Order: sequence, then structure tokens, then C-alpha cells
Amino acid sequence: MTKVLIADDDSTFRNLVKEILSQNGFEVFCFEDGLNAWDFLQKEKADIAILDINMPGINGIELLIKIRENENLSLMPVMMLTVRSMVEDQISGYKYGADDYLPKPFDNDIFLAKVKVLERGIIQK
Amino acid sequence: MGKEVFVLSKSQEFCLSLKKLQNFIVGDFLFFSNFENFVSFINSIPLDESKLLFIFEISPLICSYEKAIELIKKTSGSMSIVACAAKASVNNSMIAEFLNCGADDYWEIGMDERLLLAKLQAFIRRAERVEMLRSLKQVIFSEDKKICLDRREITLKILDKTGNYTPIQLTKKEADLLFLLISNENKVLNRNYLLECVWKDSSEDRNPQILDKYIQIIRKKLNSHGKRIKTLYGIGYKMEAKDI
Repeated sequence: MTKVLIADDDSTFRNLVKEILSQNGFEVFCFEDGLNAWDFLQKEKADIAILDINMPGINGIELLIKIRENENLSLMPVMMLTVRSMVEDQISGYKYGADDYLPKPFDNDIFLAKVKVLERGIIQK
Repeated sequence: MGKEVFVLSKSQEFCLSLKKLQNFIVGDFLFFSNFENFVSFINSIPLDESKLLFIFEISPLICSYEKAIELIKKTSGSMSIVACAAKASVNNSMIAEFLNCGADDYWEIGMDERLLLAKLQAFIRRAERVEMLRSLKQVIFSEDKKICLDRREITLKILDKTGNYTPIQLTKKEADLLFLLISNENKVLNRNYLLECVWKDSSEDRNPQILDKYIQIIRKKLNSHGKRIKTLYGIGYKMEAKDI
């Protein structure tokens, strides 16, 4: 079962994302801030990370940078899921190593399809 | 080796936007080609590892995008596929469908060129990550698990009838060549690509015939699995994923 980490301080979106993914066979781990998500990633293994940008503690971009700089996590597919929809925000997300960037609010079917694309791209070490 | 991006689109403006991006990619990395129709694209897919991305416009040029995606995947397993369309011509459920059919992303024609560049660079990075990991892998198996290659011990292991692996010693070059064949099962590997990869740092004569000689030796060492290495005369070699 593919393990997905979600880091989002907005409980509405966090629960929605969790529901969509759980119903489609993914094992989901939710965190409301970047610091706890980072702690989890260092101890446990997730296959995919879905990160909000505006979060307390470490924000989504900082967490993304940590993931890309970590030897064990650098290959993990990462999607940014955020209300920051400006082109500049999206460019910055990709620049720091995001594999995909989906602005909120999002279409549930597109979101699920995009997570499945990331799942296809998981690189087994 | 350069990586190619193929574009199949009727929109000259979109093709031009993509072409302009070449100036921003470090190391003369990308080469764009436009194709007037799907058949000419498929016939132009090179039989080596220079393929990176295929960007195609959803249009009447392609009557069935599901079949188109399936055909591209079949022809080139490692190539990423991006479906694109003008915003007004598709809805959300169509976009989800492109992705579910096997497309790796959906790009809107007319999107900001800076964003286009960022997305393209993300694909390049991903391809580099895959390549790096592949080169680090020390033990690989054929899809049917009957052949194992251990690069640390430079040993080929073949599953016998008792369920055990029989080790066979290889030379470094034989292991490098077999590694490329096993990690690209069912894909045609161009002769020049194989010579370039295996003999790039070698003082050994890079006469093209040396490749055929090594293939002959590997076939022998693979025993009954040797016939899985198919010769495509004048083109290259392909390893069948399963023992037929």
C-alpha cells in the first residue's frame, strides 16, 4: 500500500485529502505542521509527500528543501498543494524541487489522478 | 548525450514558446522537433536513451488519446508524456482522464513561459534522479527473476530448476553491458549508445564489432536465456523480459 504524507495546517483540506486518498487505497499520514511531518519522515518511510506552503514551524518550501537535501528522501515524489496560486509561487515550488504543484481549491478527480501519476513515478531504492 | 523533447502540436505559438526555452536550459540539453502528425512522430522516436519528453496537443490530429498514450508508452517506456490543450477545449474530467490514461502531466497552451520552463526543468531533474539511481543500483533482476546481475561481485546468477541461483563470473565490461540490457528489458538499445556507455572510458579498441563479440560471450554465459537477447540488424540489441 502506497504511503502518503500530508502536511497541511488547514483541517478542512487535510481531512478532504485524507478522505480522497484513503478511499482510493492509499495509506495516509496527516500532520498539521512541517516540523512534525519532518520528524515523521526521518523516522518512518513515506512514498509520496503532499505539502501545503503556509504552515507553522517549518513551511512547505523549507520542508521540500530538507527532503531534497536528505540522502534517503531526495527521490521521493512531492506535490505542493496550496492556496498560493500565483505563477511566481508555482515557479518557486518547482525550483526547489516539487514534482507537481496544485493550487487550492482543486478538482478532486484531478488531484487523485495527479497523486496516481506520482505513484507511478516512485523510484524503488 | 542530449535529451530530446518531442512536440506534436498544431499551435505554432506554443511550439515557438517551447523552442525559446532551449536558451534557458544549461548545457545545450534539449532539442525540439515538431511533427505534423502522430504517425510521423512515432516513426521518429530514436532507438536510444536520448528521449526525455513527449508533449502532444489533444486535437483532431489524434483521434484517440488513450491509444496514442498507450502507443507512446509501448514504443518508449522511459519517455514522459505531457498532454496539452487550450484552456477552453478541455474540462477537468478530461484532464483527469489524460492523467489516468498514462500522461504524466497536463499543460495548458498559453501558460506563462516562466512556468513552462519551471515544469520542463522539473521533468529534467526527475529524469536525472532516475538515471542516477539506476547507475547506483548494484543488484538487478530480470522481470521474471530468472536472471540476476550482481555488480559488486561482477557475477551473473541464473535461477536453476531447484530454485537456486548458479553464479557465473563476468568481466567488468560484460557486466556493464548486461546491466544495460537487463535494466532496459524489452527496449531496443542502439549500437552507438551501448558502445558509448560501455566503452566510453576504455582504451580498448572501440571497433563496433567488439559489441557483437561481447554479446556473443554474454549469450553463451546466459545459457538457455541467451536467446532472450535479440539482434536488430544494423540497429542494436534488445533483451526480452520473459523467457519465451
